[in-house]
Amino acid sequence: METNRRRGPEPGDTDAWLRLLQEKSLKELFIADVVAAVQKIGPNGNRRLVEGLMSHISDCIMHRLRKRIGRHFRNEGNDMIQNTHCQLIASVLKPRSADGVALRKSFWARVDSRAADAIRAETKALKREIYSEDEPQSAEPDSSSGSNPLEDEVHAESVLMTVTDVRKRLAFRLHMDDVPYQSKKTDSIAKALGVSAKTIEKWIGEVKQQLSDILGDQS
Amino acid sequence: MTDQTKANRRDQVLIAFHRDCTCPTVDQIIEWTTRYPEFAEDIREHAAILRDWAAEPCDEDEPADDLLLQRGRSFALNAIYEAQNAPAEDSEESFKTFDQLMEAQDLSTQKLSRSLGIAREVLADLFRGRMKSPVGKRLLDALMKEFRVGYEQFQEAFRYALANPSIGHAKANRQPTISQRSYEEVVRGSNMSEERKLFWLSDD
Repeated sequence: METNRRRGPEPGDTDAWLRLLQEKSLKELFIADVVAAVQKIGPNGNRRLVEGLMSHISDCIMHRLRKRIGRHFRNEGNDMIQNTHCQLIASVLKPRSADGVALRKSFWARVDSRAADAIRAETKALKREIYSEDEPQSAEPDSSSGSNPLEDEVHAESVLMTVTDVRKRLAFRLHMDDVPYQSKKTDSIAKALGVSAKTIEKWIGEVKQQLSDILGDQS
Repeated sequence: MTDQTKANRRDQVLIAFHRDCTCPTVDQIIEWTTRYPEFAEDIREHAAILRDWAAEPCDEDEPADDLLLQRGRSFALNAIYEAQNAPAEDSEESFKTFDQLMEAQDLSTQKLSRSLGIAREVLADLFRGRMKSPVGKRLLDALMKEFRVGYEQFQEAFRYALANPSIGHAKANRQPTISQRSYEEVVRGSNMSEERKLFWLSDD
């Protein structure tokens, strides 16, 4: 993600940061350095600089959340993205808050963990709403099946994402990694997920059936 | 542990998990859930989402559309305005406890003990309200530097700890008690070498 980036100037070097802003070079820098700079300069610092740095941070957060929160959620995930972004951008200027510290030290990990939390919350909310429904209401998978393996893989992946229980998806992925359901000698799916081997077998059976029902018709 | 402290701790664990395990394997999931059993459910669900992300074909961030970006920048301007007008109790200076000061700098008693070269028990007595005032100058200066706070903020945390001491270990023949000792007594009673004790007892 940041392999081609470089370190920014000292956080308190306002002139250097202003030059970078004018040169539109902020995207060449590690984003954590940009966060450290705006936290050091503070909300009452040079107005053009503070607004420029915060806009850049805002854009980075938005692009990342757009990638992490897919369009298969309600309203294409836009509500989740905006709520998560709002929480994060507000904490940038609270350098001693938990999020403020985390964005300065581990920017992408913090954004990603908040995105994952948003996905978990939305998934739980969706489950409560469809509790009485017969069929899950997650977005329909892409119904086209390609004639080449890559397109088939992408299609299978989109079908897998219709499985709303994240634990079942994880169980299936580990099964595809050839991890045993249960084992006394090695790590197992049951141990990783903290459930019985019987439950794992049931989950994987359900996922395979769901995949087969959709993909099998098109093979 | 308060609810807020536990929530912060959970967040720290999950950030570290996201940083270290971008495509979690079964052994990584077991390692982390074993290390942090109180957050096992969170770790498993985050692992599932991380595996979903790892399965996506494109590694580059997807560009957000202009409307989302404009809204984001509007939120950013709001955040600047709110930070400029934040009341005193919401400002950076509101932290009171030693736990909060450590969290803000991503520190722990163990990390401080290692970096400062002081026995962990000395720090534990200070943070848990079992050390009487005053704190030795050398330790006071070192901790103010680590916490990035001034004298008043440190004293505020110290006063809070003294007012809310943690009780000592229970004994077989009596109830657990709160015992407070002077800075010198705590240092001399620690398991540090004589040289280190003298170091922490001196002011220069």
